Amino acid sequence: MNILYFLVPLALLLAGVGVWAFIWSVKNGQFEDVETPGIRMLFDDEDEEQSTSGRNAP
Amino acid sequence: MSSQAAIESKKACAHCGLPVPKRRMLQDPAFCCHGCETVYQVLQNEGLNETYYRLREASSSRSLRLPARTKLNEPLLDELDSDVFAESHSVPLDGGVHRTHLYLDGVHCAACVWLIERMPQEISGVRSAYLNLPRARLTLEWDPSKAKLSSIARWLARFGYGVESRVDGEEAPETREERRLLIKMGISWALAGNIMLIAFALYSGLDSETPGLFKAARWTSFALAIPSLLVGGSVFFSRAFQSVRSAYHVRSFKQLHMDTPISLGILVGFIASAWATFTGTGDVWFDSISVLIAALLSARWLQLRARRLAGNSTEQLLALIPSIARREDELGGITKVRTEDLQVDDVVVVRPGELIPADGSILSGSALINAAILTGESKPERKEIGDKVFAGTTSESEVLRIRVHAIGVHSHVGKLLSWVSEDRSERPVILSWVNQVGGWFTAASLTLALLTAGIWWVIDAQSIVPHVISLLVITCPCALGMATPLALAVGMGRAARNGIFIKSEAVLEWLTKVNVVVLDKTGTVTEGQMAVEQTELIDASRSVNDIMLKAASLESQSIHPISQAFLQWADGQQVDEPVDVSYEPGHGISGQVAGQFIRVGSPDWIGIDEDCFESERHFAAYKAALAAGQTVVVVEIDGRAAAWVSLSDPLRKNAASLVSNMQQKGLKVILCSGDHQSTTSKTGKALGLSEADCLGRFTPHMKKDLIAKLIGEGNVVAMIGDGVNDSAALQTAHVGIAVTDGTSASRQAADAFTTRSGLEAIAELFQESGKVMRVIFRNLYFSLGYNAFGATLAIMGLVTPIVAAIAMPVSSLWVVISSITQRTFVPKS
Repeated sequence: MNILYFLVPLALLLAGVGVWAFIWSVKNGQFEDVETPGIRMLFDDEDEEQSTSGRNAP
Repeated sequence: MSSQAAIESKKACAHCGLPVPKRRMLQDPAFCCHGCETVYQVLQNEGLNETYYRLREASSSRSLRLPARTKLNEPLLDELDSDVFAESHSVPLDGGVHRTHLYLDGVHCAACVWLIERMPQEISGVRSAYLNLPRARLTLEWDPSKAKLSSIARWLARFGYGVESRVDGEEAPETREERRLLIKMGISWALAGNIMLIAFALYSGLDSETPGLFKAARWTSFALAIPSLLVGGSVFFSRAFQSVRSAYHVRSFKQLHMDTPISLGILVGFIASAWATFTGTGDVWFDSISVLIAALLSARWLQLRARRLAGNSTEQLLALIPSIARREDELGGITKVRTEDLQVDDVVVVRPGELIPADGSILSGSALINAAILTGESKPERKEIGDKVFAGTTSESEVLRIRVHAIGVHSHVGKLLSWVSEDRSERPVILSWVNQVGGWFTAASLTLALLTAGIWWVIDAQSIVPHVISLLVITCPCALGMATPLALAVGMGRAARNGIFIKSEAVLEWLTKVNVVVLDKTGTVTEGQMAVEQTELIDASRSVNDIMLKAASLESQSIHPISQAFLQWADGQQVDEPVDVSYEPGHGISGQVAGQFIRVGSPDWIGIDEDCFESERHFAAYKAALAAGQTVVVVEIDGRAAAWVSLSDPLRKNAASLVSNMQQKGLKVILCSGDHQSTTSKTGKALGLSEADCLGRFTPHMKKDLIAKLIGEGNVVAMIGDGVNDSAALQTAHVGIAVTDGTSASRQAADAFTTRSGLEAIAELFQESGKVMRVIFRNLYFSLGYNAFGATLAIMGLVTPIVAAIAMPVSSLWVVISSITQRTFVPKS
């Protein structure tokens, strides 16, 4: 069980990294609009289709 | 059978999917209106149609709204290009590029995002365009020297997206507040998760085996709980402190709000656990209180976020008063100056179609003035030399020279607007029992704590303290604290998806109590613009279609509201470019169309009498229309009266059913308008209102006073309106609702606004707000039941930390599920 003396601080350290990443992303505005980027994903597909037109033809 | 046939023959618009009217049925593809057809063709010509319609299919999540008006707001476009706009609403970036935020009308799906974000490829000078769909906010980076903002707005308008006349700054305080709360929430959850993990170890019997680990686990939880309290808990502590202080001042425990019992539970739990950690005896509750903090912060954040969908407080309005005015100096030269630099007694020149920049009196010229924005009157009024005109109204027919009397905040419109942005201290204070629960709850928990202490003093004096602590922790109103904000946040989010934006939660509650509804007329229950109501031939040898199209071609040269009605009727069709067009102010318009001399104007000007008509019956119909107070114009072709046309401002679809619905529910409905009494009464009659409830000739101030009077009589009043003239009334009422096409000023003053066409959204808001309130009550009853149950267990001495650790999150989860699964504001397919 003594491994816990090592594992718990490690878990806390990882949690700390997670929290830091979260704070960064909030400050960076990543959570301002959670809807549009999901839609935007559809457009990239379409651009690819255009540039390699013919390959995806049925 | 016939109704079935009607359904089968219905065709959906190839662009927006709405039903196609009969006369357009034969086209293929068919469209519901000219606007849709134009957009469809533009997309086709640019080769954008295929992706656009495919993406639209792919994302039918948002309810379709009617395509936005494609009519451009010319004063707004001038405003966008002005230096004033560039200075105050855009941020210069590197390389001469500026960034600004615009709000758009009519964006609703993936296809809109795709189309709008293609702007950099389509318009040179635009570096990036980024659309925030839920808020319809376009972030634009462009080079003003290469692309004018007005041409960008025109490009958007081609696809049916209008630019709204509101802007906001770079970063609103709401955004900062929301981000701050989100960070606190994240930190609290991370800490709560780790404390819980350690607590699991403690609950599964860590203490008996390894005393060293047991001690370490408790100290670690303690160390983690401190930041949780400082970061997350402080939100509740500071608010609880304020409420305790104000309760002390007025000596009433009702002033205590929900944060007081929450803070009490958290603090008692923490202090007891800290004591247990130091002394090594007793229970620790760190896991329960840290999860409680995180869960409550989440509910708060969701609520804040839902509220922000309806807009920021820092938004500013554009184009109500133009920022540039043409000033005439002594020598007659004209210079463009900023409106704010105008002085009293300056002379300004206003061209037809322009907004008047300041209050003043006419020095020369006479023109039809459209004052709808100030008075709500639909018909423009003729103003002559010496008459007073007001800033924000539009000169529709001629060039005017105006001597300035008042500018900016001293002008009529300026006063109205400053009223809107003022502190809302005049509004009725909202003190619902949902908000009063906090006070009663605190009183109840303290009484129960005393009771527990009393009972255990008799049974076992040694265990008084742990039992009182467990009572205060288990009754800490987690579920109760989440019940209201969560249900409201979900309800408001669902409403926003349906084009109904609710700014304050109180709206939903007030709406269930409203007993008087005041309706504005022009633009609210009516369409707000003239439309052709009836066309009757005088010369039977011609066809209505031919006459109307020729008249419309001629009228395309004018911006008079009557001309707009003809153009709307013609729906984009035109026979020929008219030549030799001349206006006869106050009478009509004449010119050559396709080789024929056409005159369109008032019956007196054209000069028709009984002899012109085929039969007595025809003449009687014409007389009846005049007698009914309708606006009648006559079309003359080559010197012979061809047809007469009656025009009116038509009622909105569903207006009558909305009113009768409200009346059935026992609400008193009052129609209040700046228009003439006769016009108001006529509209009121069509809506099924009695003469006494139709109030005409009401100025914005009278409307406000009317509402204040109604409130003074003990009524709960809802005001539904659209224009700047309604802003003061919207703000005074318990609930102010601004409807479609509402100007931005009324949106700012209102508590809720709809962006969906028609009045259906209003009916929905009234109906669904009751449902949301029922969800809130369901949550509250459950939470109170849970707390009563928890308190009983605690008094019996059955609550241990593990019971609290299970019962508290489970009760909160129930509230979360109950809130999320609410069936309110269901989109109609």
